[in-house]
Amino acid sequence: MQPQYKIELRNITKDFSGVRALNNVSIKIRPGTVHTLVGENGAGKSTLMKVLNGIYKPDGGSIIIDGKETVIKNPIDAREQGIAMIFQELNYIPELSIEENIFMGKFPNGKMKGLVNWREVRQRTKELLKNEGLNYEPQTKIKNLSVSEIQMLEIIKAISFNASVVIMDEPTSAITTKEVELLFRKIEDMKKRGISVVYISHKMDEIFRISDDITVLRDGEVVGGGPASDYDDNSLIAQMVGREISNLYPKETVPIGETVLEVKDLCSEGMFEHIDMTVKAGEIVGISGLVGAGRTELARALSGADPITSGEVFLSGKKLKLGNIGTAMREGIIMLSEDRRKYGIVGCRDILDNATLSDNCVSKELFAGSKRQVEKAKELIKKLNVKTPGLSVKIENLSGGNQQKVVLAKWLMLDAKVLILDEPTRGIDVGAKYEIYKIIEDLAKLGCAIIMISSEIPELMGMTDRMYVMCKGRITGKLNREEFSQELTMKYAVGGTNK
Amino acid sequence: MKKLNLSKYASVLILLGLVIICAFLDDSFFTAQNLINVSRQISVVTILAFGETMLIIAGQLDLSVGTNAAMSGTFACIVYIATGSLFIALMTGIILGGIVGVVNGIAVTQFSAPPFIVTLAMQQITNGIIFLYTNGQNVYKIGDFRVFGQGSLGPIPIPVVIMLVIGIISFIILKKTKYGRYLYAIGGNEDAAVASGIKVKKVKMAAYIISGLLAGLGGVVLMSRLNAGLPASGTGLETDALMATIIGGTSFTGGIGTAPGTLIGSFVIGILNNIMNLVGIQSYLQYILKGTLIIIAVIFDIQSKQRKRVVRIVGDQEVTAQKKDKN
Repeated sequence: MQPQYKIELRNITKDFSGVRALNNVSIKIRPGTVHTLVGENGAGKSTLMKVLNGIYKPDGGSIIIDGKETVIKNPIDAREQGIAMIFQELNYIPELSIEENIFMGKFPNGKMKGLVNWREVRQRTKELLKNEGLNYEPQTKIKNLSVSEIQMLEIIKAISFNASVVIMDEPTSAITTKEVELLFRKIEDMKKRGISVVYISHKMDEIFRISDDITVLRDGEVVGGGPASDYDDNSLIAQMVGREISNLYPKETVPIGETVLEVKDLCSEGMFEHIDMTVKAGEIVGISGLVGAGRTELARALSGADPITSGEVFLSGKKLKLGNIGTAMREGIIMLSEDRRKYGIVGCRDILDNATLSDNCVSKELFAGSKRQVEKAKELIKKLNVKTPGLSVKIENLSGGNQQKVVLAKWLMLDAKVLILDEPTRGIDVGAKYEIYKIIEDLAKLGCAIIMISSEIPELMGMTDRMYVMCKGRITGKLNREEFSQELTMKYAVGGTNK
Repeated sequence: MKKLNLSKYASVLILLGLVIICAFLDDSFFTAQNLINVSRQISVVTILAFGETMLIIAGQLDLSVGTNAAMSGTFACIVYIATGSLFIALMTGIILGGIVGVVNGIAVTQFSAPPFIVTLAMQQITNGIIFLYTNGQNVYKIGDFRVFGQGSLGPIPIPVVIMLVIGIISFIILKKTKYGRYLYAIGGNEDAAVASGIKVKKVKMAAYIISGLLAGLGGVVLMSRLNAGLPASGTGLETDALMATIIGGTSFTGGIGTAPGTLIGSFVIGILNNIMNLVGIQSYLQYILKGTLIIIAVIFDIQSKQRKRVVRIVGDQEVTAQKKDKN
């Protein structure tokens, strides 16, 4: 008889040098369902999944697979027991081909042990790709594939290992809306085959779309759970953060001032063209569009990170010379990058170093770490509510949300006139998101002109006064707050034009 | 109670341990004269190592400092013999070294050439230049040029004074100046440094020039100590400078390191050499022991980092744990 649950975790406990990361966590996963884990960053989701995948050994509790108690020694052992994990950061070797990556670690032997039977590898890869409806060539190098294509590959790789449980850690954080559809179709397909999916995500719409069951974690404990139909946005968020957030977006009416930024016919070859836009003081202007529409490229050009081909940019009526981050910074145009790890933080340095990095480039003081700098940094860290015992903590020891706040602090050390925020809440949990929205709103109140780029349309609808929609490097739509709708935004984003 | 972070003070502990062991091993070790000797012996390598430290903190590398020192130092001797001016000779050495730094810097920053390859090639070039010019002959009869390496200021030898002055300047640059912050940021995350408005190419360029200037200065002190311009005397100095830097706690992946650490690292190597000579360990064996030490130091460095990584995954809770420690 088929046991009722595919996997049962009973009273799992895990300590890290005296800090309890998981406390008596019990979860039951039914076969052929999507079980979503939600919780703020640091709630213990990733730790729990790493226990299930054999990366960590639990300090207490038991794991039951198909009704039998078992021990998962390491990731390879997990794989043999039918558990596969698809990481947020994908594991693949860019210079090797699809077939090599799929069979890595389990190449069929050729004539001699140690030799590879390449014919079999090719044959089986072809079959696998065909069965899963993907028309890639087995010899294509991984580096030539997109993130979503690699993700698909990871999934079929997991299936090829006969996985019966697939863990996905925020799989949609780096792929486009269209690719998300593809992923969800694949997940449906997996469910039909009886495969269980353990899904980790911060995105509400996704969670409700694909989940059968939900478990909510907070501070390493299960605080709630049940069928997804028992929850709605508000009740789920309330349970995650342990308090009611009455309104997701703390939008207020702010008096709008003079035009601060005016962009006229800005072009950058191969990136975007004929961009006209204005942003006024106190205004939050959104830029919507699909990934690859040229939003980040536009932001980078405005902040001086990338060169432009033609066009003009005026700041408070004064024409600007673009093409240099330092110059833009001194003029007061500042950009918060979408990729915090790559462009935001210097991981091995402390909070003070990170927060004063740009101020150093602008200030005329002789030495770094002046009293003024330290005081201001302290003040900002306090104002932004960064959870840290002091300024000398290495930034990589903070959670994602707190890291993002320090990066914001770095920019707020300068007097920003125009603040460009590229996906300011990506990969950040709900509680910290709300705080960051509040900070953005406060900046608008101070008269900052703010450009906010986001892939989440509800976020833009919640926070902005006006929206530009981009598609293929052009602005295809302009919306005022009264006209905001998901449908209209999507229509412009896929290339429909203004009437 | 706050736990003592052992890895942070690893180099100090190694040095203390070494001094204690040496004091027991040989009576003549712990005498003022011997300690001054050790300081004098390490001076040249340490001067080079300070430049190397700045480069490695910025994620760069200079393998040409040894041969650059030999080239610049030997030319300084030649110029002294020709002009009789200590000042002109000193400047010649320093500026020649600086020019090598400029070339390294241009290749790395303007043409994105890998530092390892560029400076390895520069090692060959500088070596070739001085051998070509001198025809491989040593330059003798350097007269008063000896003052840079053999003179003394009160009881303290001039080379030690130079080493300490350069050390203090390096300390201030790394600890206090904006330029120092830029070096750390570039080594820690170059993309973030660019995005923060730092002129990364200029900063790197300057670091190569500093390293070159210090190699020139080191070369002058070296030849002066050796009492002649010896074109072959620079070989291997870059290895010692690198070892001092790494043992002193500078991370080879960039972003971490200090000037005092490098000074300590240099003393560790100097004392090790000294005691091995005092107790009469054969010189070929000394290489093996020194090499073993650097491998241990690097493994220690990596191990301590990995331990930290495990804890980091807990995120916020880790910070709370630190908070508790402080109370």
